[in-house]
Amino acid sequence: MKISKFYKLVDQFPSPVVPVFKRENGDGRDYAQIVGSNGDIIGFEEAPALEDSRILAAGNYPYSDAHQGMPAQYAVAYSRTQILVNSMEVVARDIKEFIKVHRSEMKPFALLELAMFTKDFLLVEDAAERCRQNLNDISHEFSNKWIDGAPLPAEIKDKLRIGSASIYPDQLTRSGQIRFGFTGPRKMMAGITDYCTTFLHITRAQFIKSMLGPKDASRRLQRALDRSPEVIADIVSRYGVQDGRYPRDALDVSRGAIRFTVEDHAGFIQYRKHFLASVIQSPVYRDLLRIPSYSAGTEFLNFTILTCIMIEYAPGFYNYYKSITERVS
Amino acid sequence: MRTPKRTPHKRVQDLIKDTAPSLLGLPLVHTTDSYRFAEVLLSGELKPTPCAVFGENLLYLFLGRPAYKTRKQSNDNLTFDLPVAIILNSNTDIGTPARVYPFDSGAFERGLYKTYFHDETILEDFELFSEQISSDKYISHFYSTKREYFGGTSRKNVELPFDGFEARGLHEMARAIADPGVDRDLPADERSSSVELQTRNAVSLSGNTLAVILPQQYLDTKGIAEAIASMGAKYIKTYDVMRNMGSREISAVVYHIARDIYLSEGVFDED
Repeated sequence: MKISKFYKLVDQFPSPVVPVFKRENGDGRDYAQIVGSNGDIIGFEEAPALEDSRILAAGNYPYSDAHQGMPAQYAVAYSRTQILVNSMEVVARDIKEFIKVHRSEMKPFALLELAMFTKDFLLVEDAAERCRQNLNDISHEFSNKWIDGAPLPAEIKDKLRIGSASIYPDQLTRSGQIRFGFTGPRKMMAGITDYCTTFLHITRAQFIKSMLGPKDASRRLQRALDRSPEVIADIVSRYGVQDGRYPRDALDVSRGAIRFTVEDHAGFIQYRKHFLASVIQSPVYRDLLRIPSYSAGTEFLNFTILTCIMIEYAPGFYNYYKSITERVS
Repeated sequence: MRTPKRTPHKRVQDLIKDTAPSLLGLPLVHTTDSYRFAEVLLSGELKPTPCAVFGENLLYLFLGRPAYKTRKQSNDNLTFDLPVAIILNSNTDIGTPARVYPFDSGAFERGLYKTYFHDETILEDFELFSEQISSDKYISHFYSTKREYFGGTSRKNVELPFDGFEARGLHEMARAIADPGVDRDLPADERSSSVELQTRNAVSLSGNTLAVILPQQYLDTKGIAEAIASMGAKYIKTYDVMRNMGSREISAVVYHIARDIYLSEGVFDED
């Protein structure tokens, strides 16, 4: 079999194209390769009818003699005349080089398509972020839906969601207690938690001590728990807005709970949003996300704590956190 | 309009008329190719198009399955057109169906199922009652679960009447693999047992679309992306093309995505 032409799948360049074959002394018909599960050609079958407008002429290619048992032939058309066809490995290597040179002029999803073929994590991540930004211009909801439905690794999806993170509308109960809601991936939540170093140092240390330490550990854990609302209040106060402070006197830390005695709720919400924004945008947080080996235990702990902070910040926090702590310890 | 060669038998209709439609809830799916999809988006609705078999404008939908409608004259098992599947909300009103068939009527007319049926059998012998519920009755008769229908390979024991010639073939087809993602020795034939509904009405995409499954590179076209966003679909699912070599692999990916959506929506449960 010889490659006789290529067939466009998508009406743009660069994009993947299908190699079409002809028998060397043949019947004049078009054939497509059949690829086995091992990635080799296991045969050929007659191609469907081809539309002239989608046919790209073939030139001279290294594997003009395609036959059963050889690696499947993948093809990418960088332009109408610049087409590469070869084994998966060779094409992937070439695409990487192409992206290096042409990245900026490529459309986001064309870039993603090719990046995914290379299986290069960083290339995929970069391309996916460009796609997200592009769709975000249409709507935030649309880009989120795309992230949810895209064939991307979970880790990349988590990172994309950072850019798409949004804060739920605050729910203000009649009692005046404020509850928080925050959308974000697990890793991100863990990262933010880690950033709250004061709180974490205490709880982590107490966790370890309670699990590995002497008999009085539970008492010390209890003390830490008793202190935790105060610690949270401290964190909030240190990550305020313009002036860097959240008004401490607006917090009522008593009876193991935090109550925000704010009359100006809008003002409070403003502070809280800035607090979250400052954390998300901080270089420390960004660095945290890049740590490849996050221990599962730490991640779980951080996530749990952060969930407490962000979602159960109001009076329910204490009991919720305590119950989790007791279960784990 | 098409005229049957003879008076059609009603044996299949009779067989399922008293069947309780126990497998409700599978959405209707329209699968088109990416090249046509742009036109669909521009109009904002799925429109009936001229049908050579029935001689009128019809919109084709399949129950539950993102199956391609047979159109072309050459290799029916292979296409270089990238599929776009539009899964409609289960409450979408398509009006009274023009016709309901237990398989791809176009494929039958092309003789693709002739090994299952007698040579004298005509397409109209298989026409079900022209109401949407007959599709549910049909799958309830031949399948144990909605999941089973989706993947093919019915395991249901169906009692067939002595003269149920058409039903016997249909039962055999129901046992064939339909999901292209199923790893078996035999190739899947998704259309042979995909229940087809035809309507003469256009169906608006906005507000009626549960999910769109499409090749990711199509989102580079701003007009397409905006039109998809405006549909308000709950799921926007994209697939990559180059890693999935061949139409069967891509078809398997689309089935896999549809299955995941149905699992999320509680249309059916995991096996």
